[in-house]
Amino acid sequence: MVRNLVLIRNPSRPQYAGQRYALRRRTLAGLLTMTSMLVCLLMTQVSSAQGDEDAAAEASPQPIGIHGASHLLGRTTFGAPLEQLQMYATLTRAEAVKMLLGTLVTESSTPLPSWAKYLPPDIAKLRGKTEQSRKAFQKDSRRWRTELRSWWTRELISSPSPLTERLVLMWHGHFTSELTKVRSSQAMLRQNQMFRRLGSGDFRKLLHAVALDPAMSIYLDMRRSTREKPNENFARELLELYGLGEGNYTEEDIKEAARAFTGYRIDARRGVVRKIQRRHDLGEKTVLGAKGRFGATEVIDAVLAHEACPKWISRRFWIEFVSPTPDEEVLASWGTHLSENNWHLTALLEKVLLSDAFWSEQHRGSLVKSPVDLVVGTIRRFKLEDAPAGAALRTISRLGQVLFDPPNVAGWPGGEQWIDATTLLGRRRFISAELQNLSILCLMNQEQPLPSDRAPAKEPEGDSGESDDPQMEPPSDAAMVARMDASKEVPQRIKMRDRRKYSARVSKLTEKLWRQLGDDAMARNTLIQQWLLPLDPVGQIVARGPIRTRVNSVLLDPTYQLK
Amino acid sequence: MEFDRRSFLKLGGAACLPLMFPGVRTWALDEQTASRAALGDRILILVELQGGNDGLNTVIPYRDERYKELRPKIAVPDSKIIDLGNHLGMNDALSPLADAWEAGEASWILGLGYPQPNRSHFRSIEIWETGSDSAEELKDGWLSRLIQGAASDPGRAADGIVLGGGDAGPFYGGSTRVIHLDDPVSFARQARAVPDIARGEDARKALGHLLEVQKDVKRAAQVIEEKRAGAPTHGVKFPTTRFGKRCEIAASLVTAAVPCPLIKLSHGGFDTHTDQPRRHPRLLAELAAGLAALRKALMASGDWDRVLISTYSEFGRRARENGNQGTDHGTAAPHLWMGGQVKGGLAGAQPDLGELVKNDLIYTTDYRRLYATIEQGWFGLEANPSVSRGAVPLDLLRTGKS
Repeated sequence: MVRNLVLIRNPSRPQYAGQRYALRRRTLAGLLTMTSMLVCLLMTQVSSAQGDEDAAAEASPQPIGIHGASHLLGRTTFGAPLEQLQMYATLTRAEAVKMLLGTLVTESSTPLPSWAKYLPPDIAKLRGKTEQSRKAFQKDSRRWRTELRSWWTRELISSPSPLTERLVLMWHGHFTSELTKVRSSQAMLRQNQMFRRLGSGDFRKLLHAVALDPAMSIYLDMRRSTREKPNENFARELLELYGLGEGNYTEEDIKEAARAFTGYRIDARRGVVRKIQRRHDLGEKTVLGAKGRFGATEVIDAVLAHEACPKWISRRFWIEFVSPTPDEEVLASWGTHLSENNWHLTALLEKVLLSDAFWSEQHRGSLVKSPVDLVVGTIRRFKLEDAPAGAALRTISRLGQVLFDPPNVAGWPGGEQWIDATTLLGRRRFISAELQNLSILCLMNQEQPLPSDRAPAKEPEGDSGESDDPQMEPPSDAAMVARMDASKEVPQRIKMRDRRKYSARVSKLTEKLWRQLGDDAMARNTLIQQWLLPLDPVGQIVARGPIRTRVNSVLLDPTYQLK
Repeated sequence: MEFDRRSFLKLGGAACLPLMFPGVRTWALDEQTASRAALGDRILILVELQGGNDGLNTVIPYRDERYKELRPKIAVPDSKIIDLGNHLGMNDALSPLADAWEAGEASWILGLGYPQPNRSHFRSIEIWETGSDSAEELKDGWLSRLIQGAASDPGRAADGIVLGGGDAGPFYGGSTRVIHLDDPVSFARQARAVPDIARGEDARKALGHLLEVQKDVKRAAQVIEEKRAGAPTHGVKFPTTRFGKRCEIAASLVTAAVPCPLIKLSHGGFDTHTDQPRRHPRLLAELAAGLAALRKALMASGDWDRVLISTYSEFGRRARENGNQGTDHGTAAPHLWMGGQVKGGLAGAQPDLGELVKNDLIYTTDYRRLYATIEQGWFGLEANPSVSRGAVPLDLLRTGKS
């Protein structure tokens, strides 16, 4: 397949690229048949004939084309519908990245669940004292958890700034907290909003905010850490996973930093973390070579002052956006760029997205799509935003990514580990069966809105898997998913009558999409593959028969699992 | 009789096996010649205790006063301890395992660990699963290297099966074929629809992995389906916990004679920083109930003698309790072996509570001695330095491989 064939600079001038391409072809043909003298002459003529255009092309680089746009948007926004791709295709790298970064926002667009405002006193009141009220509260809090996940899934699917959500998801996997341990949907929601608010701004602010985040304080036991018995959990992960990486600190640094994080408690009335002097270790500590009567702020500053910190953050960006194998030299230069630009994360992101490493053909298709990439990306590509978030959420969870519950403090390992025998089959089923259901539900929803994504859900009674244990096994497995399945926000089965009625309409829409790809069979195949696949397909792409079968054969190609 | 390398080694080379001379470190043969022995029909079932099991509240030095001094709030009371002799006792949450213990088919190997212990979950489980030293980074799982060194068997459903979540861990890496499954029936049905695509030349690493998994899925599903078709049922009732269900699937695979030498189950939640007296016994009880049912099923089907069950975990927990009725990340811990061929009882040495380093136990037995025992004693392979790392096998099995 010839990449970069579609160089449409501007939708209103679609002939342009083709003409220029043809001209070059003729030039090459000429080279083969003419004497060297003539060749020289011809070349001069051709270049003068192209004149201004060539000079312009040199001054401002080429548009990124469909292949480039598909790469850029696939990596940064989960995936985009065809129209958007065609628009980005006409831009140069710099223009495209500028436009993309311009979409960043700091707030979510999906209305917050009604329970989001509850602070600990409200919750204590709700919980009550009687056994009956406690039972009712348990039910409520289970519902909140499902609604929390649905809320974010809705935001992932329909946010006008998918790049923002990409960053929120990245930070959620970096500064991890698990709902199963934190147990407060409110705290997890606030943490998620914090990633949105600070995740593309000043990294220093983000890291300081993480240390004083209530969900984090619960998750890594800071709220229990006292000067008599410092708990090392947060200090360890701050150095090992959040700020520096192994090899840049000693066990002694962890012990000393842990002393600095003693005495921080969640203020029950306001739901924020505060330092309680009498529980705090006021003594002198030595952390990463710095010495003083440190508290949280000073330790975070010491981490930020360590040379390994900006490089560590650059590593996270590389793994998120470029490939599984970082180039240490490039990381160092990105790190410098970050610290020289006031730790502005958008500056780092711009550097990454304009880097040769990001655009290198060698790195295309080298990342495995996460379940969120696959499901949210497919929904966004085919504009199925009106499909119920709950249905998408269930698939994402089944494929091994339970939002708000990464498997452990290191986040989702990602990469090849997303694909094992079970998830491979699940991913295929998503495309061959569940996608059709999503499409039908999407149409049904557009016609007659289903109960909202956040409608009260019915919970199963006497669920033995539920416990008040804060550190149960990470629920990336069946029991957890089954529990989420129990939420009845979406009809589990589509009635036969509806299925027949809406299937026909889904087919019509698919045909419409097909026509949008153009009349020429060759060009159409090239376009659909460039739009959906990061690499040439390795399986059989069906060229005849029902359109859905043909589209599915592209989506079922193993390369669709990559980005 | 075919006179192959292996029977030659058995006859003439047996004396150089370290098994015969415990304490003598030998690379019996270089890697090339030591490899390629078949694994036969023996099965190893690994049980990962995720989060770091608290060894001191599992096999308890309850006669040692220092135990209660170190753990004023979370020490297991004497009334909840099953005596194992030698001043040690087992948490009575493990009582479903009493049958196996009394039958001499369960062994606790004490004080397992390694020098310069790492207390990070991720790093320490990596050490255990790759068989590395503390400061050494190895990429592949130790059992993956064992599989690479033994004769490959195209008839196998897979080299390793991971049941119900968890990663491939010790099976990871090389060309080791690992499948993960939750439910064998739906697995087979869906695998039929997967196309066969050969791996191209220019395949990216990620793409190569994907195509490999596709191939493995098809092959595994086919074999599992065939074997399960005519398999008898064992009729044993398993606990309905997550772990119990995993044990049940493991039993169904073994009793159906699905050819696969390695199975891994995981049991999570052992990271008991808080509230340990309530949480830990429940985890142990689930573990014991699942394993007891597994034993029963395998005994009924006549497979018990060809199965070895071994637990492992990233670390034990700190000897001194923390301020939250829990324990922080520690070092050495005991692990459990069970099977028809296991020599029951206590093995290794209990770490001394009087000699702690920063409130942590000092290991007494290198964990890789378990690996050497599995390699040489259980699977009958020659010592391969890349698998057992020169560790000396322990005397834990009734018979070597026959």
